[in-house]
Amino acid sequence: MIAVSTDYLSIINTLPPGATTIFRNVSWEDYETLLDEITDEPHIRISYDDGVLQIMTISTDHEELTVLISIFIRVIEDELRLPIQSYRSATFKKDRKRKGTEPDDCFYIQNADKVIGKKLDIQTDPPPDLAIEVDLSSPSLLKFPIYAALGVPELWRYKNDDVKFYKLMDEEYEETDRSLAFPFLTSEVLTQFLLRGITDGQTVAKWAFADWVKVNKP
Amino acid sequence: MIAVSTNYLSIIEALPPDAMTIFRNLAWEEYKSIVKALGNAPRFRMAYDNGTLQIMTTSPKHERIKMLLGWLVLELVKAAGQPFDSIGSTTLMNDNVRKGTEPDDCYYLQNASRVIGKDIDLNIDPPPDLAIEVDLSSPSLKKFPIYAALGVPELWRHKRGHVKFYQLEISDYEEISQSIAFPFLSSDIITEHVQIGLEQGPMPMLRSFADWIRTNQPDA
Repeated sequence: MIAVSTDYLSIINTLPPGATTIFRNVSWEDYETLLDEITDEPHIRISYDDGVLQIMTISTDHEELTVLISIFIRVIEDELRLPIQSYRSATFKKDRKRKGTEPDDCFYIQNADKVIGKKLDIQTDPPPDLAIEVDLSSPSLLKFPIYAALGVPELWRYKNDDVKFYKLMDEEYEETDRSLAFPFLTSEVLTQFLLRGITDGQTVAKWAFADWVKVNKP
Repeated sequence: MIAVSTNYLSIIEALPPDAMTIFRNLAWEEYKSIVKALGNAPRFRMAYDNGTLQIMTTSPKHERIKMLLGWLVLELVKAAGQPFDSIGSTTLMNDNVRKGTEPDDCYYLQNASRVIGKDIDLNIDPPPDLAIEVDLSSPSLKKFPIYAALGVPELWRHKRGHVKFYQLEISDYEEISQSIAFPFLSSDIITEHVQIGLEQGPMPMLRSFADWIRTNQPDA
């Protein structure tokens, strides 16, 4: 097409909440420039996979779901006295593989001790042990190959009133009933408490989940 | 994110080729006003289903495949001497089902005589007999349920180098090997000819297809 570079930033800045936009034939350099320009914008998630740039804007219901899942993980942390480190929606990218993404939340669990107290460098440090994706409209499946390339061993994805767990097998994700990081937890149980959180609020869901963990933890 | 009403049009118009954007929680009336404002601009393909609006922008490769498929259909109707009509990428929408989509191309074949010379209104007139979709990238909003609700009996979809035919069965599409509108025609023949068109240009494709039709078309 014509050699006028698209003003991605001005499009992105006008997107309403809950929108997803995909651009093709975007260079790695344009992606990196964009990341520099949109530092710390908590309502935008940017992913890049070999020329394809995906922008998602976050809506209130999206945030509510992400927060609930984060609360549940912090409950497990308290009940198991287990150190967990989150970098929320930090950008994880691998220059060599020309892939990068920003999860809705991410956690170092098995590898927490390797990152606590350090300045995280995703090129050399291990990837998060668990990434969270909330899908209200659209294609986080596009993000699965990115997570696979980054080597994230476990994903939790919310879609259509359901949380599913995935584990990385070779280079692809396979659905799994039980969490890798927390084998006592099934996706079914997590879904139940998440739905409870949507109807009864974060506090009630948190307390109820804490009671469940007390009984079911190893 | 403040509750200022979004200027969807300015976002849509700024999209580069081969882009896609999805908006959620749009009212049917908002969708209709966007369709009206864009006035069927050929660069965009919009689809609306249950509050979600998807806009895709076309690219030269996309348009090229669409044109090739259109010429193949033209060759078929010419050979059969059959009446037909096309409304191209017109927005197909129906107020009753509150769904809408813009095919890459669409044809009236079996129902051609019912629409030729008329202003078509899908709230009253039959839907096209055949819609053509060229998918270079996977759309996120599923368009088949929209075509099903609109009652389009046959779809041809080009995806990853292959054309597949689909037939509407109650409310779902099932893959079929032979076209409904042209029963002697298989999707493999169309795939093969689109490939010739992409590699050698439309003329060799049309010559080869005309030969194939002459040999394979049943006697009228």
